Amino acid sequence: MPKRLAVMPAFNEGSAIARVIEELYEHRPDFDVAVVDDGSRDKTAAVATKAGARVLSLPFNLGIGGAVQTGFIYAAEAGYDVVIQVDGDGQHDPQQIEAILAPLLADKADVIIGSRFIDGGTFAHAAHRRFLIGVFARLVSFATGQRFTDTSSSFRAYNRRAIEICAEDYPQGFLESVESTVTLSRYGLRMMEVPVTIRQRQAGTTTLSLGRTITHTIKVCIAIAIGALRASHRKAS
Amino acid sequence: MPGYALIAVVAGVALFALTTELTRRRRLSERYSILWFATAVGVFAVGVIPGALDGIARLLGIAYAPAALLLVAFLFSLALILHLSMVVSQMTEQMTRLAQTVAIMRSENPHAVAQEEPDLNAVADETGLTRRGRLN
Repeated sequence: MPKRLAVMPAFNEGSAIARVIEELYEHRPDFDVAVVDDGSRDKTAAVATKAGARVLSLPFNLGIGGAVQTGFIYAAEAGYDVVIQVDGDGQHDPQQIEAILAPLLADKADVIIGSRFIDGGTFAHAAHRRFLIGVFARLVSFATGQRFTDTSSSFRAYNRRAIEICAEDYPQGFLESVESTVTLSRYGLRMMEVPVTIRQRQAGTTTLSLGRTITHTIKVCIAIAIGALRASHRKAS
Repeated sequence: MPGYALIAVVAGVALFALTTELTRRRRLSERYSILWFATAVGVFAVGVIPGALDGIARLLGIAYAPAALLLVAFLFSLALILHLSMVVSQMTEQMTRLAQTVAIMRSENPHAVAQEEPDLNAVADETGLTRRGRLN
């Protein structure tokens, strides 16, 4: 039986995370859970420990990229064969794990991305956010030469090969999920999207005002360009 | 000796003395002290070598000598800032790795999961170090 780990980055998720962990254990007893507490100021670490997760407490906030990578380093060291990345806020339904896990176990790809937008996936979102995600998908598709519909999805499954690469080199930039799609693809990892259904967030809010949307878009473009340049440089050397 | 030359001589000597003192007190690492010693010598040289500034200006094709001085100073500052940005980037990367390692090691030691922040002053007393990291 391959060792499987659910990596759950969490920043001030103390109110929701216990339920998320319990639900995950309930539906997927085949998975261990590692919560990466990214310097939370609330009781995230204590709550997650009590819920039975292994808690990797960062001494200060690293941002999402650094937090997720902590999970990969731990998984690589502890000899896990499969990592799935799950959000700590409960928007990823554990019953959907099978959807991203099955093609990984069948060795159809090294990284499986749960997409909200290919047929079969659903998501209720504000129109402008949906539009923006579509634009990013096109940019990433252009940079990688592979069609992606949902690059900002953080609901993903990784095999051992991908785990080792992520432990070594994971984007620390502003938008890890967009950037990592480009980076991992450039490393020659086989990527695949499958449809998933995402729930509404149990806690916390994602708000994007117009100003933030514009700066966000600029950041994504830079991230994609740098990701593409950097990885091709790595290949060459 | 023109006014600017006197200023350059004084500034060069002062910078040299300051760099020496900061290095002696370990407030500045040897690696960077070399850069600042060289700068001090350069500033000093502009002051004591007659016509040095005019020579540089002629070499660069700049009619007004003080403008050449400003150009050199500006380019030097830019290069220094870029270098420091690189140092900060490298240190951030190292610090990230360190934090990640600490997080994983802490999770392996059940006593540390209590989430208590270490009292840095107490640690410093035990190890005979001050907060600045120098020996008492």
